[in-house]
Amino acid sequence: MQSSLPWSSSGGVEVHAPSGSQCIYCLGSRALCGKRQCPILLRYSKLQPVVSLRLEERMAMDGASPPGVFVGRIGYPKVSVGPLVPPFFGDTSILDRPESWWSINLDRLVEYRSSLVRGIFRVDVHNPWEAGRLFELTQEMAMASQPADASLEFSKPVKARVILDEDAQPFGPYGPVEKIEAGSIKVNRVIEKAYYDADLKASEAVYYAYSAGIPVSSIQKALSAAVFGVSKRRRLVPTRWSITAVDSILAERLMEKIKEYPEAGEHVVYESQHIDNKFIVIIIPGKWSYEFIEMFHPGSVWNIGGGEDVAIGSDYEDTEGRTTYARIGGCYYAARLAVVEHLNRIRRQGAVLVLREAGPGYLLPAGVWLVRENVRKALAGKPVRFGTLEAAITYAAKRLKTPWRMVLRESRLLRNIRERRRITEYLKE
Amino acid sequence: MSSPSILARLVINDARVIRKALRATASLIDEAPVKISDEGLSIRALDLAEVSMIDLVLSKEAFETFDFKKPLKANIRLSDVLNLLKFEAKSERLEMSFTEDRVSFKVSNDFTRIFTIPVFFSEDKDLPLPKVSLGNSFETKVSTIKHLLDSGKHISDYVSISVENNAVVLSARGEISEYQVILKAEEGNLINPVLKEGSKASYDLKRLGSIVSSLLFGENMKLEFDTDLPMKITQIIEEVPNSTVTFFIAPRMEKG
Repeated sequence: MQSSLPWSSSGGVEVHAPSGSQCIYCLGSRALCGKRQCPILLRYSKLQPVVSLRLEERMAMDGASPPGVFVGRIGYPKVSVGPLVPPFFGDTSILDRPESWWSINLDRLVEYRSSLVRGIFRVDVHNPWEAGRLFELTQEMAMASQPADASLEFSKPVKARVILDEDAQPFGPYGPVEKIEAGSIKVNRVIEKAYYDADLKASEAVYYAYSAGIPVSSIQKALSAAVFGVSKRRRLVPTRWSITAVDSILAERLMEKIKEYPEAGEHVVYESQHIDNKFIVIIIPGKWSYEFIEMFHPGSVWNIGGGEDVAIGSDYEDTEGRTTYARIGGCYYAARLAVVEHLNRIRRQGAVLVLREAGPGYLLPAGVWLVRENVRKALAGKPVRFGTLEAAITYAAKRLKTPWRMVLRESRLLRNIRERRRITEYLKE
Repeated sequence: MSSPSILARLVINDARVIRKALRATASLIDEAPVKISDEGLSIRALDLAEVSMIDLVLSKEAFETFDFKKPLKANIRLSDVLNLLKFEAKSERLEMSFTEDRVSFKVSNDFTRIFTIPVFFSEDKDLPLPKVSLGNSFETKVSTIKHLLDSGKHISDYVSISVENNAVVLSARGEISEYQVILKAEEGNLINPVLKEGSKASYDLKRLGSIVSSLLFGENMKLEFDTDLPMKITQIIEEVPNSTVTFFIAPRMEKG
């Protein structure tokens, strides 16, 4: 779909146009996509200064990695990998720590993402060590507990790319790196311990690090950079897959526990809001089951040209869990982790419905962190309590712009609760 | 160091009976309370969502040796056992020995293999069986019901069963499509029917599918149901006298 040649190039920022893009005719001035603000101009405005003002000659740079690494998925198993480094020093940790992003606006998010330069080299995921020092330092950065100073030299000038596609995630500039130098890297001791345990399975290492209080985003970086796993089976995991893998591994472990807990005693509704995304979490007394429903209003990401219709999608799992990948992808797993963390904290199980409603202010896909951190934020807040399911959903319905009948029609969890009897009801005299 | 005291020792000449019994139980739960008592080996348990229940009884006659000091109930992780307890030949002999914290499985045929897994013992009271009077019963082929469930899962989350014109109609209905299987005595797929015209109930298709797929003791199954009441599924364990596997599944109460 995407044309192979740049449509326009200016100051190191290439602009690519997928075939049929209406952006070519709009150029940010006519709002043909119906969005309040042009997402492409927003990305361009954040990328252009990084490329043209901060990267002199665009052949070398230095700065403090937050720490961050990137592992691509295009061409798997031969993928692009490398450190993420902004062209400045100091405490840059916020740039790649989603756990701290729950209050930033979209403008700031794009700025964070755009400021991280990817110095990339290509390796086979099964043997990234063939890249020698380039990979060793990249892997060390993935294990770092605080920003690490680094210098990158590129074989070709760094460039940035803006795709004329309102659904593309914001990314920083990138360039093929031929030399990396790093100052002192302070490695996280817990992650280091797992790294040196050649018999520890990757999933065990993930849970071990989580139990030791390591943030999910740091665990995801380590898993991605082949830090975890039985030694001979270690491999790179593309960043996007690694994020969902960690969310899933951790939730599966916690779910084993929560299925043993007593059922929640009341109906509670939690809520949070961020970047025109509203999250509503309803916990219903019962056995563990979970559903994530997302609703994208016209003008928001994933619902361009939807007229006046709300785009709705969902996935669900029953008490036994699921064996297939959720149709709606990483957001399902990100929200599930936040939910099971909460249930594990309160030592209760229940049926949990998570609703996400995105409005037209949600211009760009922010990443699944938005879901995880905002469901976490909602569940850390004060709930509204109800005596009945009807009262809880009446309240929740009023908090949404989406007609509740759409939710009811979509929800397997609510249908099960209303319609499904338990065999235990028939065991009594 | 003294060897651990044996609490129960069971020997069966056709190990596949045990595998089938555990396979049926695993259709509902992974950790099964296996009871050893004068009645034989029995398992009665609910699934995690408490929507369905299994009641399996293998009488003592199934076993060449059935020794126990006192009745016991051992919780066994079935996935562990089923991964290891795989049989190719009919004549494999299985010996199960329960000690204080373990159960060992010794399988003998051309060679002997032994594996041991941890167990923990439970003092839980036995669950009662559902107290329901079901007005419809019939026998049919497992493959017929399985056929409906395999096809129906693409259409709906639940399956309806009704009695219409002396036939049993099983249907999976989605928003735009429907799949039906009609069982009639004259076509030979409705055996020993006792039917109450107009009866109708619905059940979770996925759970029912999992149960029916696990019925490996024979070709036929007995099915009992009534309007908005649980369904009871029974299969006689043909290899062993006085032995059956029974499932109950709670209904769905459709609104409107």
